[in-house]
Amino acid sequence: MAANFWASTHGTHWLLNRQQLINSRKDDLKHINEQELTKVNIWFAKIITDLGKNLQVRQIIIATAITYFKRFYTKNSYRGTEPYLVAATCMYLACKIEESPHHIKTVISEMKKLTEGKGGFPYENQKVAEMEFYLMEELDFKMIVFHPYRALATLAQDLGTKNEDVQNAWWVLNDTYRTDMCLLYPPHVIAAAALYLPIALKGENNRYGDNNNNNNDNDNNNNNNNSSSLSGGSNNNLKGGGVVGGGVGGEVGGGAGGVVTRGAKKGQVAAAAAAAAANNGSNIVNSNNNNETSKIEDIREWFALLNVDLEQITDIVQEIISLYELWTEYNEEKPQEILQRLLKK
Amino acid sequence: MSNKLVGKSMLQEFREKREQERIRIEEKYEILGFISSGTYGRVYKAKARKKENKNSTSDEETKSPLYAIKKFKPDKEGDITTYTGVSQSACREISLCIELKHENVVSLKEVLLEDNSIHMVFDFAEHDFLQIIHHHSQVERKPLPEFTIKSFLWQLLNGVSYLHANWVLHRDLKPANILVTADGVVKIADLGLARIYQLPLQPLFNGDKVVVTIWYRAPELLLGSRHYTKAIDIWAVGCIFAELLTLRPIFKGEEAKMDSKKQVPFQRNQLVKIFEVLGKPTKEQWPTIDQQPEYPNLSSFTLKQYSNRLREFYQNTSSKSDSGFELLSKMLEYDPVKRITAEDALNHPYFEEEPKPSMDAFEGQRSQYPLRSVKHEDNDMKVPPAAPNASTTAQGQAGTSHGGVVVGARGKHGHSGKDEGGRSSKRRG
Ligand SMILES: Nc1ncnc2c1ncn2[C@@H]1O[C@H](COP(=O)(O)OP(=O)(O)O)[C@@H](O)[C@H]1O
Ligand SMILES: [Mg+2]
Repeated sequence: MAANFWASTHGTHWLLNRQQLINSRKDDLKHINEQELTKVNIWFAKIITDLGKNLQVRQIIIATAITYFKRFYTKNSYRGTEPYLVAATCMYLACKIEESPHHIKTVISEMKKLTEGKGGFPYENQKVAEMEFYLMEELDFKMIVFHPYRALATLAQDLGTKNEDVQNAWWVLNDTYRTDMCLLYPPHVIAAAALYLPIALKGENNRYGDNNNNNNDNDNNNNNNNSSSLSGGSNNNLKGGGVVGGGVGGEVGGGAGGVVTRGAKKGQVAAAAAAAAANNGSNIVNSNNNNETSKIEDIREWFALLNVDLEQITDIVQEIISLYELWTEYNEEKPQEILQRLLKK
Repeated sequence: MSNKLVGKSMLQEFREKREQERIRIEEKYEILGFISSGTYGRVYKAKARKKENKNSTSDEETKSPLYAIKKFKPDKEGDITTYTGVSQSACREISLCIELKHENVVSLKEVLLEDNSIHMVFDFAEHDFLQIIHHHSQVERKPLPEFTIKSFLWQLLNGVSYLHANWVLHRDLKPANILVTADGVVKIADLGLARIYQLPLQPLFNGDKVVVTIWYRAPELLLGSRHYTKAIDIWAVGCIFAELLTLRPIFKGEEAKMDSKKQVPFQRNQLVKIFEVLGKPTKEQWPTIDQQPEYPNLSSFTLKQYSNRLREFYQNTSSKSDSGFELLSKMLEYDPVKRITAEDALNHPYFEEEPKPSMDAFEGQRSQYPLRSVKHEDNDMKVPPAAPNASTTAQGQAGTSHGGVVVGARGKHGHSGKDEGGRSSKRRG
C-alpha cells in the first residue's frame, strides 16, 4: 500500500476515467453548463484551501481534503447535498487521517469566519460529525490519498532540477487541485507533468520564475512545516526536497490569478509545452540554451524509463493551461451566482 | 448565499436516502455474543447469515464463516454528549486496515455504520498469544513446543516486515494484539495506534494516550526519544519472543503514572527490569545514548552492578538453539540503529534450523487450546433469539471434530509444511 501506489486503494479504486466523471455530473449539468460547473469546482477547492490556510495545516492536508471533496462529488450532486458542510467535513477528516487533528469546533469556527458575508456556515458539531460518517461511507472508507509532492521531490532530485524549477512545479501541483486531476491520474504522473511544465515554459523563453511574486498575493499565514511533507520520513532520499518545501511554505494554494499573469503568450506556451511533452518538441526547445535542452531531454528519457505515459503528461499539461485560461475570466462573484442558481430548489 | 435555504432538509434527505440503501448489520450477521470490551468500544463474535440459494455440495463450505465485529463508541468529550465525530484511533485503524492485505495481518472485511457507530468487521481469530501463553503457564504448565514458537515468531516477523515495507509502524505489539486462527496462522491485530511513518510523526504523547504497553516499550522510548522507528516494533517482537519461551513477560516493570502536569514520567522501574537482564547500556554498545533526553537520569542507576545475563536467561528456557539466542539478542539490541530489521530477522539462520517454521503453527497438534470465550450478558448489539446457544454451536464447529472453520480454512493453506522455510518470498498467499 503506502510503499506501492498501484497496490493502494487510491490506485486500485479511486482512479476514474473521464466518462465516469461526466456521468457523475449529469444531475448538476441539468441546471448549469459545464464551464460553470468547473467554476463551482474551483470555488470549493479554493474554499477548502483557504480553510486549510486559516487552520495552518500542511499543504498535504489541503490536498487530501480537496481529494475527499472531489471523490464525494463523483457520487453525489451539488444539488442533492450541502457542499459547504461537505467541504468543512472533508477538512476535519483529512486533518485526522493525516495525523494532525483539529478540534471539530475549531474547524467549524474557521469555516464560519471564512464564509461570513458569503452565506455563512449554519452548522454545528452534530452536523459535521454526522456528515463525517456519510463522507467516510461515500469514500468507501478508503481514506489514504497519495499526492504528487513526494514524487516531485524524488523526481527533481533524480534529475538534479534547480530549486527554482522545483518551486514552480510545486505551485503548479497546488493548482492541479483546482481541477479533476487527482481523480484521473496517478500522482507521479501529475508530478512529472508539473515538473515538466515550467521547464518547457522556460524553454519557450518565458521568464516564468520572475512571475512567482504574483503568487504572493495570498496571505502568508501558513509557513508552518510544509517541508515535512517533502522531506519527512526516514527513507529520506529527498535532499533537494527539504530546501524546496521550506521555501514554498508560504505559497500554499497560490491564488487564482497568480500563475495566470505570465500567460501573455498562453497559446504559444501551450503549444510548446504540449508539443515538447509529446516528444517531438525539441525544435522549439532547441532555440534556447543547451542547458534547457538537455534538461528536457533528460526528463523525457526519464519519463521513458519510468514508463510514464507521455500522452497523459500532455493531457495534464493542457489541462493545467486551460485552468489558467479559465482563471483569467474567473472572479469570486461569478461562482457564487452560479452556485445560487445550482442549489436553488 | 443559498445554502441557508437548503439548510437541514438536504442532510435529512441525504440521510434518508442512505439509510434506505444501507444493509442492516443484523440482516447480514448473526451476533453470537461479545468477546471483549474496552475504552474504544466492544468486540463481538458474529457469523454470516447463510444465503438461501447456496447449494453447495461440501459440508464444510456451507458452514458460515466467523467474524469479529469491533464496534467503536462514538467519541464523546467527557460526559457531555457533544459529538465530535469518529475517533482518531478508529480513523487510523480503518484507513490502514483497508489498505493492508497480508496473510499475517488481520483482514478487514468491511466497515458498517449503524447507531451512530463505526463497526469494523474482521475475520475471526480463535486464539491470541496472550491466551495461548496463559494456557501453557496456568493449565498445561509446560512450555510451548519449539516448532510452535518458531512458527509464531516467523509469522509475526513476516507480518511486521510487511507493515514496515509499507511504512506502517504498529506501535502496540504485545501478546493480546497478536491473534492466531484455529489453523495456526498468526494475525497481527489492533492497528488503532499504527501510523504511516512518512507522515511527520508528532511527539509520542501528543494526542495519543499511551503508546506501546510499557513491558514491550523500547529503551529509546523509555529514555525519552520522541521518534518512532521500525526498531521500536522489533524490540516488542523480541520481548514477545522471550515471553513465548518462558511464558512470562521478560521485562515486567511497573509503569510510573503521568503526573498532574501531564509530564511524561521517567520509567525507572521498567529500565531496571531491562538492565537486570541486559545490563546497563554502555556508550560502546549504543554510541548515541548520551543524546537521549533522559540520559542524565541514568547516572543514578549506580547502586547495583548490572551485567548482561541474557544468555543465562535463554539457557533457562526450553530452547537449546544457539541461533535462537543470537536472534533474540539482535532483537533486544540497545542501539536502535543496530537492532535487527524484520526483513533480516526472517532470514536469520534460526529459521533454517530444524524444526523449520510453518504457516500452520499448530501442525500435528490441533485443538489443544480453549476457544475464545464469548459472553452473552450485557450485550448491547441486538442479540437474535438463537444466540444463547451460539457458543456451543461455535465450539462444535471449531472443536475436536475438526469441522467447520478449521477444516474449511485449512483447505486453503492446507498442505503447508515445515519445509516452508525461512524466506518471506516462500510464503503462500
Ligand atoms: N479478529 C478478531 N478475532 C477474534 N478476536 C478479536 C479479533 N479482533 C479483536 N479481538 C479480540 O478483542 C480484543 C480487543 O481488540 P483490539 O483490536 O485489540 O482492540 P483494543 O484497541 O481495545 O485493544 C482483542 O484483544 C481480542 O481478544
Ligand atoms: Mg488490543
